[in-house]
Amino acid sequence: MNSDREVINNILRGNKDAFRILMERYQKLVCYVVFKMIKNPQEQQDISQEVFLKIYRNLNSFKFNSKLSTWIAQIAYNTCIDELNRRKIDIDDNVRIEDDFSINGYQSTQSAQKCVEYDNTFGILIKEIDKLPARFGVVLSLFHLQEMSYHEIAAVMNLPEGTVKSYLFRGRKMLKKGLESKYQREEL
Amino acid sequence: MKYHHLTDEEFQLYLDKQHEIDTERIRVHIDECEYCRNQLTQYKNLYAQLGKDPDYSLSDISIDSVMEKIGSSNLSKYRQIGPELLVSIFSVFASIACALYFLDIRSVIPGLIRLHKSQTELLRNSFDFVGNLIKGVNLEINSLAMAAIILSIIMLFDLLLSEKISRIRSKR
Repeated sequence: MNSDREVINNILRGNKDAFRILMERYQKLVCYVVFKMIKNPQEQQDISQEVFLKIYRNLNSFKFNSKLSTWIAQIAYNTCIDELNRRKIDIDDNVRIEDDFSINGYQSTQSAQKCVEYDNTFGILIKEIDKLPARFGVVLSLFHLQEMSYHEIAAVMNLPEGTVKSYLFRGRKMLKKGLESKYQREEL
Repeated sequence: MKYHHLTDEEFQLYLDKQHEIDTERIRVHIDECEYCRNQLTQYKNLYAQLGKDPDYSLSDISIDSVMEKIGSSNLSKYRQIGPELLVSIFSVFASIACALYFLDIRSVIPGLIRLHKSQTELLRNSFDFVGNLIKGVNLEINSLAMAAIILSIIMLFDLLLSEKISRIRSKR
């Protein structure tokens, strides 16, 4: 498999098809950030596209001073912030529009099938995460799914490391409580 | 110790494997305290769920759309640096041309020879080096001023072109 450096060099030499490799490699990362920040399924797709176009346009400014994943996540996060600011939406008020079956948020039927496949706890957890402030969701995704360190997440979100830790701890605590109360209610 | 339960932060720092926490103390406490053992199990379950891939992905339509938009734009490192490279090459040649035109070449060559001969001495004293260089090249103030004006024009031209390029890039 080609390294990131090789793929980037290929793209910069004019091989546009190489960008598809980069997209496939990093689409999950972009989605983890965008889907947590933007709650409307159609807008999630539009903004993810915009993120990849920005990555392409600015690829020659990436000098490998940081991990490519950190740089890409930064672009995704900043694009979402800009978009929310442009629409004068408070980041933490951006609640998912009613779509009970939306796990990955883009096609309801597809998501509904996936929902059945997931075990119950995971389905509940996804919904509980959606209730958290968007920033908490991003921090949790980057830490648990991308295995980024506190330091890397702080760089992505341009926040102090202490704030990142606080978001993580508070987010998990809230999720734990949410799951506990959900199960208690079901038991009753 | 037994009745002083661990905090949520301590459980999480322990599971995040952070060095700032005394893991041995946590282990000992968990062995002794059933309540904290249960809490830790709950956190472990939560971590396991959080680590599951929610299978987020871009639709094929979105990927194709990005590839299509990329296909219509012209972007490559070499194409991008092209104008800057041209300006740089032009600047270098223009500077050499100015120097050759305004300076007395006949006085430059003996000056350079003298510089070469006195190399060892020059290394000892950097002020001497500069002095010899100016003497050897035998520059005239008028020529220097003219060269400076031409170089300023080139730099201005370079600046305007760079701004134009960055504006085109940001529009894209």
